[in-house]
Amino acid sequence: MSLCIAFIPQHVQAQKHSATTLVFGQEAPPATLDPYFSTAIATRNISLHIFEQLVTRGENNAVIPELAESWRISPDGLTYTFKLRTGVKFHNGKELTSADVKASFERYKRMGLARATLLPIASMAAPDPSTFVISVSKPQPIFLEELSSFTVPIAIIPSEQVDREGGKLDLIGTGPLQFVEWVPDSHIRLKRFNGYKPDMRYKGNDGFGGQKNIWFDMVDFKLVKEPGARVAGLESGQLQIIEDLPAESAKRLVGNKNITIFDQKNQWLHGAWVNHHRGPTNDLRIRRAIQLALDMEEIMEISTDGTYTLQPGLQYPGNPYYVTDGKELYNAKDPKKAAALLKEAGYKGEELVIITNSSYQTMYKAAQVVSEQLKAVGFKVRVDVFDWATALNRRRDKEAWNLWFTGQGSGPAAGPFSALKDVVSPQKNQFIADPEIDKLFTEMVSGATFEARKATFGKFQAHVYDQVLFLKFGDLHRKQAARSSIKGFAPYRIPRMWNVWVDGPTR
Amino acid sequence: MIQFILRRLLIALPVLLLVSLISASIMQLVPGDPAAVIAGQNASDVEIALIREQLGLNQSFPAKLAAWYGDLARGDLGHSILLNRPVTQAIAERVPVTLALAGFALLLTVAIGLPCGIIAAVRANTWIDQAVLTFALIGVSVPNFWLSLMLIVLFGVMLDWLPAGGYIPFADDPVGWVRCLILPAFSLALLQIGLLARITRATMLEILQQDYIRTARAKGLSSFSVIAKHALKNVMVPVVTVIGISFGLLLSGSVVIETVYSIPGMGRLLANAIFGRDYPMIQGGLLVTAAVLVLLNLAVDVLYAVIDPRIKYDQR
Repeated sequence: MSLCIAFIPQHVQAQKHSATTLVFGQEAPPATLDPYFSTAIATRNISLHIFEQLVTRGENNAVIPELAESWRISPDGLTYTFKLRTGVKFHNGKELTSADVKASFERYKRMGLARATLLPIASMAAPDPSTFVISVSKPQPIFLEELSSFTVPIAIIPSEQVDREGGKLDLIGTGPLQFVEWVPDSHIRLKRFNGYKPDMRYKGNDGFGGQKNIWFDMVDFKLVKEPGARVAGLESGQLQIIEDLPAESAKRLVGNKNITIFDQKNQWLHGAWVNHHRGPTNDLRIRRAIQLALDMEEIMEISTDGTYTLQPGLQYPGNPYYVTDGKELYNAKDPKKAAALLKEAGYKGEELVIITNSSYQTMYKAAQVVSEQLKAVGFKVRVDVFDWATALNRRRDKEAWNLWFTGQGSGPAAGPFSALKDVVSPQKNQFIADPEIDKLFTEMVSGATFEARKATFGKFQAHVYDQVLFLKFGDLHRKQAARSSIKGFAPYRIPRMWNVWVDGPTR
Repeated sequence: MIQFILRRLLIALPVLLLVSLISASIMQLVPGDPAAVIAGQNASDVEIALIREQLGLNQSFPAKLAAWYGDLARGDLGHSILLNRPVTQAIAERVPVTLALAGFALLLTVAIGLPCGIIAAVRANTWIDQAVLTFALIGVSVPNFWLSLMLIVLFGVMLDWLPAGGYIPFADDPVGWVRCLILPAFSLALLQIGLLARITRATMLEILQQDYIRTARAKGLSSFSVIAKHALKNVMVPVVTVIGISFGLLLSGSVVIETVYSIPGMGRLLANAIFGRDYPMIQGGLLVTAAVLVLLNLAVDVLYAVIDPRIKYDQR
């Protein structure tokens, strides 16, 4: 772990500071801001400005320290000793101690959505205010990676909050921005936490962590659902940064000197779950026929308006665990062979049911294209379109669908263990347990070395393709945009409001 | 009159009870649950079950309904699952916004629609009449979603005269409050303006044929006097009906306008509650909306009696 002391001259700091409010146009409203109680992007966008973790992920997905100063793992792998940074304050002025960290872990273990992460813990202790010790029952080679995961982050909260129920948390964290108000359907307002001490071990941004300087007095997350209104807000200067810039607007704004467009890569793996219980997809040959019939380029081009990458991995390129096993079965594009397989399997025209939703246009369009491609090789297809809540509900009914359209987002980004864990028992989205995939998953998470885990993940991915546990279409990207006077903005899995400053008029 | 009002208020109670029962039953038939919505896109069944447990969503429907009516008797509309605050608080936060928007839209409707309709009738079959009729037709036909976006582009981006969306509370900045409501109020009002103009014109034409109008003209009264003093009062009964209906529609909130302009009103509150299966909020919201409409109908009926002395409610 390298410790770089960064020195930002006082006069430069003063120049960057602005008393105006930075306004971000967010598409989806968060259902909750309690970081333990949701996996949603809309929640994380905001909660990861208010809260921080013990350890988190850096720009290239490596585990990096945040509230932890350092850590030590005992030679037998059963004890993790964390030393905490000193002088860190909560938004209510209280100083962070190991008691707060222990309480946070206890609350997470009790009601955090991903509390399974903390199952291996035998005991936790806070021997002194700046030391936190975790003891696990068996060596956990990927424990730190799990602790630093951001899908449901283990945000550090004040110890007084330990008994708070889900969604009833007071939003008091150690992050650089402090909660001010939440007016549903309008905005969430945060203000600069003047007691925040940026982590000087870093030179600047590093993934979810790094040296976080806030150069604005206030940051508003304005909830603007309608894409046209979001773009108009950006063009008029009312919004300084927006997420989810529609592709057509991006094309139109390319020449606009007042606006800078950013690529936000790898929003999610665009794909569909496959039901192994309901006919006709209970037959492997028919599932292979589907795999062969699809033209991924056509699907991705139409559903994403051109912002995509075709690649077979269940990780994004650049992730340390990136592998391409199974690539022969990805985008094989052989409709003739597909039709032949269908005949060989004795397909008698059983209806293939596709469930998609009206809430995510990309999933809706992908389903339409897939439906046509499958019909072209001889399938009888029915597309059921529901609103998001109904679609989610239907997913649990094993008689209701053959393909269920989805976007796997933060799972693959967090690493191979969360990439497609929903095919593993007991969750098994495909409804029929696959002993081979269960075995590979267990082997992967307990692999003693990185190389061993990566090799097993390769086999895991190959098996997903072989048995068609999931149909991957491609990597979906998004575009974000900002006023050109906004400097320092670098898109990541959350829109990072730190180290962003304004240089020039925003209107 | 007082007896009439009291009687109407008494009848309103079973009506509202029925509305809440029907809405609760219908929502039961709709699949989906709020826990899955809160958990987010990639949550597993285990995670969703955890949330259901935390939020106490595993009660049976009759138990939930009984609890809700019990709370209602004490004036408590329940706790919103998605917004994590009392339903009454969430609604109270939205009511001023929707009232402001609806009031503003109503003002525009009456201020533009009424005079246009009168002028069209008085100058029937001239180019003025045609112009008003065409304008009314456009108002009724244009989809307000498209219109809103066009207005935002024109006034918000190109001319930069008005904000491109968002809501500023009156307490924060009175001028900003007016400015942010102009475009949405107009988008909402356009349909109502068209309707009001046409109804006013049709009613006015009918009235202008009446004998007493001819008498008034024969007496030598000025045109303005004839219309303003004699004709207008008789136009008001059907017009008040339309205004009442319009205001009712405006008050229940427009999801489309509020979504496009990012205004935190009742329309979006209810729509989001339905999409998120936030049952307490749906129940509470629908009950409040129904109550408002009942009161509005009553007010309109009372207004009839005020305008037209021939209308008497108290039957002896």
